[in-house]
Amino acid sequence: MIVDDDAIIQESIKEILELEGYSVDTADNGREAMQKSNTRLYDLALLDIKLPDTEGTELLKAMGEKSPEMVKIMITGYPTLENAVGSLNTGADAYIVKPVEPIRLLDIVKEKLKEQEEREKMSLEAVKKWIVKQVEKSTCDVTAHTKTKREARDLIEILDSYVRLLQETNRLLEQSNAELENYTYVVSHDLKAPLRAIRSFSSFLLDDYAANMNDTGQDYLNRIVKAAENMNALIDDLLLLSRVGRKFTEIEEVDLNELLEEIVSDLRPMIEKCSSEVVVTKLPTISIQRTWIKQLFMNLIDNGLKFNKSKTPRVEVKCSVRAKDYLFRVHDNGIGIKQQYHKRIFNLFERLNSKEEYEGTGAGLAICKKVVENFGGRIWVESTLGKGSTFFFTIPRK
Amino acid sequence: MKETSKKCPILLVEDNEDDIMITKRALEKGQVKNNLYVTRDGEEALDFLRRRGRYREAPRPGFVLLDLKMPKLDGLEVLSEIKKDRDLKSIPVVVLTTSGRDEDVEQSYALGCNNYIVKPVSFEKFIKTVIEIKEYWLTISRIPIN
Repeated sequence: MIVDDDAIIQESIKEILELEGYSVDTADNGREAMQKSNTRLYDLALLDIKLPDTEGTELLKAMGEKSPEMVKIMITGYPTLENAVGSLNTGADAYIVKPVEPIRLLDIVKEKLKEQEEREKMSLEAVKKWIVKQVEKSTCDVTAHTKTKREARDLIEILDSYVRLLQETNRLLEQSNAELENYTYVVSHDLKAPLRAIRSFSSFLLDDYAANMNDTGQDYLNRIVKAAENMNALIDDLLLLSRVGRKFTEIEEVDLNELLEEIVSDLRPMIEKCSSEVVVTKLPTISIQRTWIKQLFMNLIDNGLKFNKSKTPRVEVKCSVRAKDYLFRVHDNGIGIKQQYHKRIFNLFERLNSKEEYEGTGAGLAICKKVVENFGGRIWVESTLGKGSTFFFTIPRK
Repeated sequence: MKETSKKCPILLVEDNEDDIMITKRALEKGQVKNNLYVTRDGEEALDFLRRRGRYREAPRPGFVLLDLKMPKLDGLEVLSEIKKDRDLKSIPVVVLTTSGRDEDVEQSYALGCNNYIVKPVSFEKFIKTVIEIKEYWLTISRIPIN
């Protein structure tokens, strides 16, 4: 949150921070700032020392009482020692003098947020210490003191047991997840053998005995063949999906520009067939599992070109490098997606259109989602029916 | 008469009757005219290769098509036996299986298989695969002839 009555400063700081991927809120005065912090939790506040309705230090104090864990940085146009010491004494974590230099601002914000994160990790220990301390100074009455002490010990024990429970649950979840993935993997493979028999023997019948069958008989057989092929595609996608979570590719330095060139070349037949275009704006080089980042871009670009009725289908790929992550955008001028389906499309085997109109199993975006989540990022879509779609995904910077 | 590799027999190690029929038909449709011998489990395969028991007269195959999942000795065990055996290790072994599991692929190559091929579900593709295997091992590559 930025609290400053000067709209220009407010906007410029907001822009600097937003470019780095932080979500930013603003307030013009102390009252608005307090109101906003009642409804939301902020990680960090940048406070102007002179506000129309209150002194910045007063607001700092009030905010400190309300949310002690929030990082508070004072901004001032009057660089006096008095201001600096006053702010720091009232609980400011840092002090910046106007004009605000973007790089210095970002350095301080990043550093302070990191410190805050460290503090949060320590917080369980801090709670325990606090309990012990409270007990120590609580009372001089010996019996009462012993009682409180015992209660405190119980409290700490409960806290510890919750932590152990959480750790254990987490471990079990990870284990069962891995088992499930392995299970899918094994079962999918075993399903393929009988499927091959169905597919093969029906085609033998068609090859050798078609003459002895009427059209209906042949139609039935053709349907069996098609169904088997469809099932095969489903199993293949299921396999691919269950493989995403399995460690089998090494992390390497991938120049995404080269990777995208490769993908475009792989998609060449499709691109030329519908006179479409893939436009890539300069991308970074990142350390990542090549197979999966390729799969991800491949699926998204392929979708953008496939679900597209424009005369010249077009997909654009862009990336912004932010403080904590890379934000990728894959934009198309395709058929678009209704708002109500924006979440559902990432489910496995979810299809919004008929198979006759658009081929595919409906696993593509589920695979994308799993890949992105495995990278530690997020994926979402912004789209309006008939107006194209933009798929966004983030990948954390290491 | 000196035997050329083109006429080498092929040994198929496969327990699933459906797959045996499918493979036979694929070889036939792919015009692969080499003699095909079939053994239905790992032990039988090793007896055939080592000319033991009822296989005293068995020929030495040009290459082996090996399934992985089999009763008694499984494919990986057969592979390991072949590659440990001084007399047999020069016979190319092509693992031909349903499993595309990374572990199976890795292990097979670690044990010395010459080629790992996942059986395609479509028969048309399977014919192509069989022709390619034959072309590769009996035409393109030079392999030792006993």
